Amino acid sequence: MNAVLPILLAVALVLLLAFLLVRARRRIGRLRAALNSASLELQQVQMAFHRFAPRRVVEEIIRQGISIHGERQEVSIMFVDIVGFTKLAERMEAEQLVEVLNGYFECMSLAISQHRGYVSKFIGDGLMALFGTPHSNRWHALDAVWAALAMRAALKDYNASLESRNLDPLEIGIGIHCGPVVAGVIGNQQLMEFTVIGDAVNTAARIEAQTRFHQVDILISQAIRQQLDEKFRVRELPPITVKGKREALTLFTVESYADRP
Amino acid sequence: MAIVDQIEWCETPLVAPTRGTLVEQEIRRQLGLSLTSIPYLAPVPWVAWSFATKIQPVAHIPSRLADLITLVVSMENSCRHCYGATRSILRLTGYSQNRISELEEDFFHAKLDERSKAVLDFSRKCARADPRPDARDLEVLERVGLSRVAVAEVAYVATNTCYSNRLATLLAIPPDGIEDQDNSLLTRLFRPLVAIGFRKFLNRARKRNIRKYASAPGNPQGVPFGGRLVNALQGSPTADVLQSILNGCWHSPHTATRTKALAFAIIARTLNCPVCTAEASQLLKSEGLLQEDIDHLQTYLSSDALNGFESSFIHFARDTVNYQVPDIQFVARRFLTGMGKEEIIELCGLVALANWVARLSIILEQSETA
Repeated sequence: MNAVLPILLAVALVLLLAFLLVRARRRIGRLRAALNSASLELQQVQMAFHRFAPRRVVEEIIRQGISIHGERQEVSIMFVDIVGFTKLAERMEAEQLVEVLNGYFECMSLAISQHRGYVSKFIGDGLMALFGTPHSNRWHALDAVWAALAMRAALKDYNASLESRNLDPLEIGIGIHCGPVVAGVIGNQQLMEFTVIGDAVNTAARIEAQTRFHQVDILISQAIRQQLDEKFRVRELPPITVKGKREALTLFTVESYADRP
Repeated sequence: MAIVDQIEWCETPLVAPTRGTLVEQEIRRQLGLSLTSIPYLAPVPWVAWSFATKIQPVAHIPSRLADLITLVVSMENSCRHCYGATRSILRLTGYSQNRISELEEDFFHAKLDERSKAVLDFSRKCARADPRPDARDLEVLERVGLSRVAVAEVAYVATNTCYSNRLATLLAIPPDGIEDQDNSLLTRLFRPLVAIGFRKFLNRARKRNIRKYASAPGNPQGVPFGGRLVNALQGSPTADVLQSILNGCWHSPHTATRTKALAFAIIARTLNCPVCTAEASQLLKSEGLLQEDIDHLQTYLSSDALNGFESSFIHFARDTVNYQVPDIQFVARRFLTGMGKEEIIELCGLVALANWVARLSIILEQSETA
C-alpha cells in the first residue's frame, strides 16, 4: 500500500501536467490563430489603403502613428461640381437624388481613375481629384485635362440614361490648376485622410466656381495651359479677378483634343 | 488563409496555353521541371526563356537571399502567380510557415540579419520606384558589406522579379503547379527530406541556367539597348542572361522595332531614368524619328510621327509602371484584345522588359561613381 500511493500520486501529477500542457497548447493555438487572423486583416487594410496613399506613408503610419510631416510636390488639382444642384435637389425625392448622385459619382470617378487621377474627397455634390500624387507623374497636367474631357463624354452618356428615365440631365463645372502643394496624411486618430494643402488647391476651387460665370464646363489655368500641346483646342477667356487673388487670372476653356489618349 | 489568396486576380488568362512546343520541352529539360507559365509564353521563345531565369543565376549573393528578394518584390507587386510560386519554393526548401508570415507582415521585425533587411528594403524600393532608388540607397548596401557585384546582383534579382511579375500579371497566368506540390501529403509528411532534395535540385537548375547563358553566342554588335547595363553587370552570370534576353527581344519578329524603342523611351521617362531615356532617344532616331518629334513625344505624350497603334501603345506602356492588379489586367485586356497570340505575348514581354531595364539602371550610378 505504501509503495502504491507515491506511484498513484506521481501518475496523477503527470496526468495533471499533461492536461495543463494540452490546455496551454490549445490556448496558444487559439491565440496564434486569432493573431494570424488579425494580422491578415491588417495586411488587407494595408493593401487597400495603398490605393489612397503612398506605400511609404502607410508604413510610416503603421510604425510611428500619423505622420505629421508632409511632402512638397507639384500636382494638378481638379474640382468638379454639379451646376444648379440645389434646384435639382428640390425637384427630386431624396432616394432618387441619392441614386442619381451615386451614378454620377461612379461615372466621374471612373473617368478620373482611368487617367491616373485619385479622388481625394467628395464634398456634397462635388469632388476634388488629384493628379501627380500619391504616385508621382510628370504628365499630371495632361492627364487631368484628358480626364476632364473623358468626364464630359461620360456625363453625356449618363445624361442620356437619365433622360430615358424622364429625369433632368446634369451639368457640371470642372476647374483645373497645378502648382506646388504639401501632400500628407492629415487628421486625428478617428478620422484621417491623405490630401494636399496649399494655395494651388484654393486657386483650383476658385477656377471651378468661374465655370458658372463663363458658362463653360471645363476651365483651366494658365499654368495648366502651358503644359498642353497644340492638339488641345482651347479658347482664352477675358481675365478675371477671383477672391483671394490680387492679380487677375487668365483662364481657358478646353473644347476638344485631336487624338484620343 | 494566407494573404496570397486574397490577391484579386483575373481567372481567365489573356491567352490560351500552347502545349507541346519545342520551347516547352527544352525548358523542361533545362530546368528539370515543368513551369505552369511556359505554355502561356511558348509562342514567343525569348519571353518563355526569360521566364525560366526566375531560378536566379546569381553567384555573388546566396540563393536563399535571392528567393527572399523574389518573395518581397512579388508581394509588393501583388503578383498572384509569382508570389504563390515563391512562397511554395521557400516552403519546399525548408522555410517554416511562421518565418514566411514574419516576412509577409514586416521584414524589419523578422528574424533576419541587418544585411538581409537592408537588401530587402532596397529590393522593395526597386519595385516601387516611386521615386526610383538612388545612389544613397546603394551606399546603404555597401555599408552592410556587399561588394559592387553583389549589389548589382541584388538589383538584378529585384528588377528581374518586377519583370516576371508584370509578365504574369498582364497575361493573368494562373497559379503555378508547384503550389500543389507544396501542399501534397507526401511533402507534408517528409518535409525535411524534401527540403534537402529540393535545395539540391534548385542549385543544379541554377548552375545549368548559368552555363546555358555563358555559352550562348553573343551579338557581335552588342545589344541595341541596355549595353551599359550589361557592362555594369560584368563579373556576374546575370550579365550574359540580360544580354541574351535583350537580344532575343530586339530580334523577335512579332513587334516592330519602333514599337520596341517607344516602350523603352516612354517607360524610362515615366521612371525618370535619364540614362535609359537618352539611349532610347537614340533608338527612336535610328527608327526615323526627328529630335523634335522625340522631344514632343516625351513632353506631351503625343507626336504626329506616331501612327494610331503607337499613340495608344505609349499610354498602355506607361500604365505598366505603377498599377493595381485588377486595373492593369483590365487595361491590358482593353488594349490587347483582338491581337494575335504572339503579338500579345511579345508586347507584354516588351513593356515588362522596359520596366526591368529602367529600374535596373540604378546600378549605373554605382558603377559610374566607382
